Amino acid sequence: MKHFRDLNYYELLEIPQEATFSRIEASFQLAKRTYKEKSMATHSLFTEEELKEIWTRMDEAHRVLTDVDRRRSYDIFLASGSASPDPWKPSPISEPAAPIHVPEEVSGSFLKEVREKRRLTLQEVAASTRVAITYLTAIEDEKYAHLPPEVYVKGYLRDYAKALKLDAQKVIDGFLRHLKTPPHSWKK
Amino acid sequence: MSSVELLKGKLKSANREIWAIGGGKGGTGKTFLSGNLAIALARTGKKVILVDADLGCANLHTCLGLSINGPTLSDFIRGKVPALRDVLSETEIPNLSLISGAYDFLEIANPRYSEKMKLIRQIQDLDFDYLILDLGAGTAFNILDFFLVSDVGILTVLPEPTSIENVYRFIKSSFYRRFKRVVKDPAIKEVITQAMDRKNDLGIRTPFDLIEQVEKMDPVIGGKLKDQIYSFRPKVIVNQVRSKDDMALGFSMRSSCSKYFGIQVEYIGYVDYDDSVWKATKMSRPLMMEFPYSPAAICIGRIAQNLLKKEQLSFDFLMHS
Repeated sequence: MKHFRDLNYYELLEIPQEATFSRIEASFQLAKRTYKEKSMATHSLFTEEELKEIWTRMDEAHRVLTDVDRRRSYDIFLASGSASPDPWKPSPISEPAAPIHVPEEVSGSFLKEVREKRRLTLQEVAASTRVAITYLTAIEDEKYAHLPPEVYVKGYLRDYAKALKLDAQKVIDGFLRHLKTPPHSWKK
Repeated sequence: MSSVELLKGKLKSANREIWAIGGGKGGTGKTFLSGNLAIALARTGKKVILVDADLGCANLHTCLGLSINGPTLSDFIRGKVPALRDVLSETEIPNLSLISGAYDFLEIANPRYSEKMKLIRQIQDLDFDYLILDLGAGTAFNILDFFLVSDVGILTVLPEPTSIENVYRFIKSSFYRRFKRVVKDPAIKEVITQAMDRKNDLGIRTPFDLIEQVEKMDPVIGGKLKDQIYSFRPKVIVNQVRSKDDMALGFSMRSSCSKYFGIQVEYIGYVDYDDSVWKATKMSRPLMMEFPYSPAAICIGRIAQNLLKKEQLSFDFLMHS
């Protein structure tokens, strides 16, 4: 008997660990009907906040389990026998994350500073974002030569910003602004 | 050993089952489903006894189109007839007999504890493969106790918020009653009593909160309560289904119950909304006899099969329907 907060993604979506893609999708559709669209079945049981919380977790579970790479890592994570059902959840120490103002220009060292403030290691960020450590390091150290084309970097920045609980759009815009300001220039 | 355990022990060894059909709210089709499921079962060659346990409001005989002349359940409960088997009435359906509650006087709705236990004890002396208890509406202790002595507890629900709310209340009441049976410590009993009140001062809202609280007081009892939750697997039938949404409700209820109560509800089937049902009811004839090929009768046949095979609606059903 587990509280819904302690269910792993499979338990949460009520599917076996070997569930097929279509089974996950079907389960997700039911979850949507039940918790997002507030089916009659939830009547008199859950509060608004609980419904929102269940739905948010189920949505995340669905995103992870329908992504080949993320599902693989998640299965490895589960097999490691961690007590937490949710590897992408920030550790309790860093919660609640105090809002941090994102400056006009975002430098690599600013991101590093925030990461350390959030008590996250590069490994942890890499595990939760699925962005390779080499790229995270290249962003923090502003080693543009080591980075792929801009469109990819935007994606990495978005995930990284989310992991740091920063406004993702501001981070992307700020970082691009920073590196397009001389003496930097984008290396294709 | 309580009479409930005694009865369950005997039944398990005798390889036969008691099904109880309840659901909290009136008008959700408990009597209709009891009668018609019994017919569906009897037709498969099983020996079936229907018991009208809706004490004080019995009308299963009317649903089956029987007029009852002989002694009824209340004659047994009040000791006018010594053996329960003497109040069995045969029906026109082979293998199906009925213990009717017809013409009961009203105070029978609240039998004394000893009377109830006598009934539960004598049920085991009857000769049957399946015995179906048609329970009354509400969550009175009498009703809950019949539900809890059964091997299979079935809840009927309509796709309406009021009906759903009552089913949840029924589920909650029945496992809190189960909890109380395994707890002796008066302090823990008191916590359970308080937890049943939604607005309790202990801040206990869900069964999870209750078990957490009890575990703090006594981890062993906390574990016992968890076992009670694991072994409680009520089954749900959604009646009067008019749309795919209504049909999916059973799956949503199953999910909600596991997340809120931590219990596994089984969704064993639904019954289509069907004019044949009221036609049969108006005629005082069982649907399965009068309109065996009506959509509702086909649904009931499917439910009977699921119950016999101990299966529930599979998720694929929703995916491909």
